[in-house]
Amino acid sequence: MNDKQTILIVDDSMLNRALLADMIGDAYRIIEAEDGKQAVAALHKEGTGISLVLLDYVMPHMNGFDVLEVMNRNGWIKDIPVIMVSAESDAAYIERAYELGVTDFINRPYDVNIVRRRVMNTLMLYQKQRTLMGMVADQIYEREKSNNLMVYILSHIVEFRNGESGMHVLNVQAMTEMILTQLVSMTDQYALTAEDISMITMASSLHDIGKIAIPEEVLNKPGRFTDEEFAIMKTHSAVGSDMLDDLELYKDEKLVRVARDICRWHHERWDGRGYPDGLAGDEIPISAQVVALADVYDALTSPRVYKPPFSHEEALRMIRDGECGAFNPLILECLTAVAGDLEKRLNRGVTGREISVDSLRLREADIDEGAATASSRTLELLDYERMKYHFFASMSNEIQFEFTEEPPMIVLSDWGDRKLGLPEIIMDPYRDEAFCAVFGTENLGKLSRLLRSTKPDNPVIDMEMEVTVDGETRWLHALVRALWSDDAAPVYLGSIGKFIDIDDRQAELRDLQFKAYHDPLTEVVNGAFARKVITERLGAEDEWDRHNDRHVLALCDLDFFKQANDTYGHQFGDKVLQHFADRLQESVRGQDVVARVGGDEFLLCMECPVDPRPLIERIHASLEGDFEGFPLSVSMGVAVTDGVARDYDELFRRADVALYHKKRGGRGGYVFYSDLDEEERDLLLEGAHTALSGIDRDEPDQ
Amino acid sequence: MSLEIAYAAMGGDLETVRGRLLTDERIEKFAKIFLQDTSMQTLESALVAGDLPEAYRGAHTLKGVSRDLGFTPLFEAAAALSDALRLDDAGVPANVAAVPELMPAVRDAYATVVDAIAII
Repeated sequence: MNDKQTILIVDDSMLNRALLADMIGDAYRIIEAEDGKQAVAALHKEGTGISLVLLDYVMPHMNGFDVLEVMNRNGWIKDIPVIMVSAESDAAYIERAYELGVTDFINRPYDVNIVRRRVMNTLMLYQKQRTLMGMVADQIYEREKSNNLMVYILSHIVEFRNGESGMHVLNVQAMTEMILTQLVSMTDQYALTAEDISMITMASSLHDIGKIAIPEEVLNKPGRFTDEEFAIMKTHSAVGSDMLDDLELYKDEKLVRVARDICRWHHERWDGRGYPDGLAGDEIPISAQVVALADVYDALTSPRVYKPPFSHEEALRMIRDGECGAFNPLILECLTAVAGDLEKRLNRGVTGREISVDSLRLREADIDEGAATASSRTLELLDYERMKYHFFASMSNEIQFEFTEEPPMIVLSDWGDRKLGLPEIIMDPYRDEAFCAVFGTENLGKLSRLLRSTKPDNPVIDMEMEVTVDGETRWLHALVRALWSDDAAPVYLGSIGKFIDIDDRQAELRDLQFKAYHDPLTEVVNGAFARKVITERLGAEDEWDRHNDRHVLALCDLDFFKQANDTYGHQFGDKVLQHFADRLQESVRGQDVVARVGGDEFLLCMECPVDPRPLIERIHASLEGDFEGFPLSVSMGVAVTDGVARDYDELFRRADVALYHKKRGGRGGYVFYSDLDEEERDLLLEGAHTALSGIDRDEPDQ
Repeated sequence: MSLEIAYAAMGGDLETVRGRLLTDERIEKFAKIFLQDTSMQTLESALVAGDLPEAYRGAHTLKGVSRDLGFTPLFEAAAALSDALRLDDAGVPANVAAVPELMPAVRDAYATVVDAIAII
């Protein structure tokens, strides 16, 4: 990342931009924009990556005020300071500029020192503000976090010594928070703020720290205490509060004061029969009252060395019946209200504290409300989201856009504008010539109608449309969401959406199809495809008698191909095959079929209304020859459709039989099936040795 | 020295510019870049085409840069023209009738500045 701050200079005069850039110096990264549209595009792209905008007023298309209006509408003006640079000194003009949120003016003629000072002051002011916001938030967060951590460690030491599970503190915390939250929702008698609840919840963990001073054999004694032991045990609440009182430096910290109250009085009871001080009613701080109840509930429902756990229902009954002493009726009411949630929330190791720290962080937003500034943390998050969005969007090969009705403006994702050959930002797109030329007024009209006829609760439409890019038509799939205002009578504000280029997808499909039907080495079609095409050409079986066209099917075999492979290697062999396939293609007409049906076997099929012999003679002659010193000798077996055999398999078999005889009778040249005598035809029909399945078909030529 | 001569030739105010732009290198550099500035051409062709907002933009830019660089006579001529062409809220120029009278002064001053910069 570049550490330099980025300054956007917006001025239609190249000289002005150069002069400003020169005066500001190279301590900053400079982006230039020639007019308002480019400025908005840069702001869209870089967001708060831009630390300052120097803005001219008189510009073509969008002037400085238009840019400011867009900045206001998008909320950028809150985070990105703007300095107006202009010769205007008219009071109305300056007032309007301030209304639109500019931070400062630089008047012409330029003075280097003034320009530098204004730029630096503005940057520092904003930087300071951002840093301060961030620092305050960070400090609150850090302090909360470290306090929380210390409390957690401390309370666990106590629990560890008690031989308890560690869950007790977490349960007391969670329950304290639940009851307090319930309490403030029922009455404002105790004037508890969210911060108070957060503080009491945190401090509740410390309620038993005084147990540190209780001798081990008393603390962990199985069975009932003697009176003397119980007296020792009861000292833990006073000891705990004394420990906190002794924290000379921190005893006035609010957390410490709250914790002290809880330590000292969490065994007091509403009727004054608790210990150590025998306080009654609301003499006992509300914090201690709530923690006392939470402590009792969790002690009842947890196993102890001297007792098994009671059930949730049994514990509630015992508390209500006063078996564990008297509690504030209001708090008992709260307990009843949250009883349903208690079982769900407790014993999960989830503290109320973590939740509270998070809610505290969210409250940053509340504190800032109206001040129209966001903390650096929020800005970082926004920048991160922006970066993420750009990354994924650029990978998706989609064109994304935002359209606003007022002002009428469409912003295309920056990879999308290249794809469509359109600028990134288009004002008044429905009347923009280039935009309409790409999308077509009819498509745009339909899209607009569809969007306006959506309802706020079902705002998404999709539509396929043909567009024109660089003179070529392409199919796009548009997926668009209409934006409606929240008003009682919703107003159409614009839309966001994406165009997916389905032309590419179709090209991919065609490519796959090509691969499925073609031999990858020679790029002629494969046997499967040849069968399909030839079968179609020959026509359906029940119509054969109606055809009088004649087709010739020839199988061509490259003689001595194995020698080419063995002598010169497979790469050379491949080149021979490619060359041979090319020659075959050249020797026939475009509509004729050339296919590779085996290692060095190729198939030709063509229509031939006249005597096919001269044709085959010519083709054979054109195939023979030489490729880089390797002699091309070709054997061919030929079959011609007659009234009986218009079936692909039969034609193939016949050509194959003819080829077999050709190869046996000396290679090079061609044989027509019709030239074979009965015996030759039959011999092969009985044996398994067709050319394809036998001799050298599996094994390329010897 | 050439900077002083050039400014003297065009009647420019070099001392004030030095006070604002601080170094002779910067003044020289941007005086030369001024030769590439297109606002005079923008102004001329917009007047031919009758595009008054564009003509105003040209005059306004010319006024601004000549003031920055201390080309005083050009600044004064361009400022007068810019005022005549200034658009009100309805997009109507203040005093189109004065434009034919004001243009020769702008052209003369511009030519003088261009010639003078050639010396630097």
